Amino acid sequence: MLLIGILYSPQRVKGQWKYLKNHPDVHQTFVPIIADVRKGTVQIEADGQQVALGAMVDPAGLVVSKSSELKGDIRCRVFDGKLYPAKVLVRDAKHDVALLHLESTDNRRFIPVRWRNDTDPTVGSWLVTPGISSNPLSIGIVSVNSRTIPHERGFLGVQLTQVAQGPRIEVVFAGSAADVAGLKRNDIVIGLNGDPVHSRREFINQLAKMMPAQEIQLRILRGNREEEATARLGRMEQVDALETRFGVMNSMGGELSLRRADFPKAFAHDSILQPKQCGGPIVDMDGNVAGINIARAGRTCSYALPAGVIHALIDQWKGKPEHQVFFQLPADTQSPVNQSP
Amino acid sequence: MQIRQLKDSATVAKKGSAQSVLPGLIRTNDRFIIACFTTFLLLLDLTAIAIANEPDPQPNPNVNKARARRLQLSDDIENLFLAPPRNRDELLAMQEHTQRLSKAVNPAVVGIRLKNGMGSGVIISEDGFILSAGHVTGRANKQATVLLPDGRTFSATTLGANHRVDAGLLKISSEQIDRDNPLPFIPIGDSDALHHGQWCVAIGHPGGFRKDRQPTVRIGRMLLQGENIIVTDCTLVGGDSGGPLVSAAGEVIGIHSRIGEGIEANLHIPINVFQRDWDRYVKGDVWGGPSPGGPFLGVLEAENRNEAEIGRVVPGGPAAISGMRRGDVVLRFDEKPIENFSQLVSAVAECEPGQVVRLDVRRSTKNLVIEIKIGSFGFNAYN
Repeated sequence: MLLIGILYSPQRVKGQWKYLKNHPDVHQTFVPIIADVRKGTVQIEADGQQVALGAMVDPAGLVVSKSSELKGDIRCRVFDGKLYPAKVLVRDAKHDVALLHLESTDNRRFIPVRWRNDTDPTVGSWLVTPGISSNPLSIGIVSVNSRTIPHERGFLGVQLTQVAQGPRIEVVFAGSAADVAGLKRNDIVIGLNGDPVHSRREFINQLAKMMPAQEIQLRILRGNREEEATARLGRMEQVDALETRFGVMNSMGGELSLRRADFPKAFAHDSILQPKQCGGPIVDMDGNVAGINIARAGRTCSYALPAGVIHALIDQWKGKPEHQVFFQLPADTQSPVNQSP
Repeated sequence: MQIRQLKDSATVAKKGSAQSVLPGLIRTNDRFIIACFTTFLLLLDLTAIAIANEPDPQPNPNVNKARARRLQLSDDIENLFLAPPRNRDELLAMQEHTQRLSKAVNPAVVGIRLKNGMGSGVIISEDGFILSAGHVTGRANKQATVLLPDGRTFSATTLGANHRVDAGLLKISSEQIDRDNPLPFIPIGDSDALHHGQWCVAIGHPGGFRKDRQPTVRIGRMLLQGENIIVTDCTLVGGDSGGPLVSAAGEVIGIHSRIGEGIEANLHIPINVFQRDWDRYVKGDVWGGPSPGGPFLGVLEAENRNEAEIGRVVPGGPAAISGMRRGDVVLRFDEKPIENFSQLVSAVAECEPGQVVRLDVRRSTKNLVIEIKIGSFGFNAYN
């Protein structure tokens, strides 16, 4: 056989930027389409950093967004630049959606977004993601129709052996969730989320049901002392040594959301988004909100929860007396209330 | 395979302390090593190799018959796909056409499973010719499984490949084809007739074929076009290799090949590459470059042009297993001085897979020696 060598080298593309699909020449056509919805879009900051976008669902200042990005001291900036402190009222872990309430001292009535209210958009349909300014953030098309996005395991990053008291940690991978949580070699896990843990197998089975970005409470035996630790489950590729070839490719083209799978119903689209641009509306060519961007999931893929899923969640929340007080719109209202500030 | 790769890389990082990764704690949904498709630059123009397999000569796909199946396309629609849409009406017209296009093309975009990898392909004739990427098909006369989006499965045989341009052909054997339930296929177009800025659609199976997911459709524009390469901003990732790039007319104009740094660098093989040497592909000729099985080090070039600096180490590859890191500068390769990256490429080219080589490397201010067992390129890059 002939001996042939190959090494890898990045191919760089230079020039030709004027032909990009996300070029301003293309974006300008989408500007009038998002003119209304961007006024119901909010930019969410946590501890001073932009972490997500959100969609105004009620003039009382109720916003839905991506739950797993919302930590710490939260403020929301609306289209006119005003910044409001906000608090999380409800979190739905299954869909990774949170409902926030903007605490306005000026009794402002906010402009809610206008929803698409028939079917989910189908493959090939244009979509545009607005921010709070007049220009779109990204455009794309539906890549795969709505379906269930399967479960993906969260990764703790330890190796375990079984000892008499329970699973004992042999190795903590550098950079993993376990490392960040301060777990150490020889720690013995005796509790998970308040329940006792007896065996390695049982612990692994429990962890297998959990997902990235999920927080777990661990009770550990360190020497003679019992201690508590909180770990936020991550992904295998956060550990350099465990990065896969597909993982590398998938991340070539930008950062991805930590929680990016396990959605009961979502459609995939090819808009290029940053994780901090998720949580807000994605708009169809009638200028209606077709869904909420819920994850940047890969080099080729972003996911959005269809409008119907969000409506069902809102109706569910409205059904609970403790939240009812916050809403101004009746449960079946989907049209905008055009109140100016 | 996946687990094994993880073990290997874990061993490197932990200097032997972590002999295994607990399967219960690893995400295992990437079950296949995705056909290696990323960022390779064909630096070497190598002597052709023909593997004399001589399968029965096959008839040309009936191109004319296929042409008849191209989407009904008015001049208005064709023009729309040549420039940025100017208003909502044009957006709606493009949208309506893209929806129809996806419906027409998706059924013919197949998953291809070979022994150790997965890629995509597109059926271009009713008698079962499938275009794919050279690094998916590899050598001629191998058995592959073809997975159709409608749930049907066929076995296929790999035919010819041009590894210089990364083009490969397969065929579903005729006796499997049911006359009452014919194969879906789409016509091929002309990649010399493309324009910069033209809108096109990329379809494939990113991450590998999944039976609960239809082919994934992405839109983008033609950024660069050459004789052997098309670059678009239709995003691609591992598993897409071999899938079709489609024009507004619903014709295959390219085949997905590889990606570069940056989300705009998505590289496709122009369709005319297949047309040019059709008979050779059908005959089972394999030529033009490193076929899977050639020597493989597993490093990417850094921007630095003056020295052989390593930009990225392919995870799980031979260099990674031996502890080579980003930023290392190769000074000598088995005593031979190395001045730049292409000299490193040539040095690897002269090796045989399995051979152990000694690299003198500069890492920040220290010099060290790394011994690497040269691997083989392709699906078994991790061996």
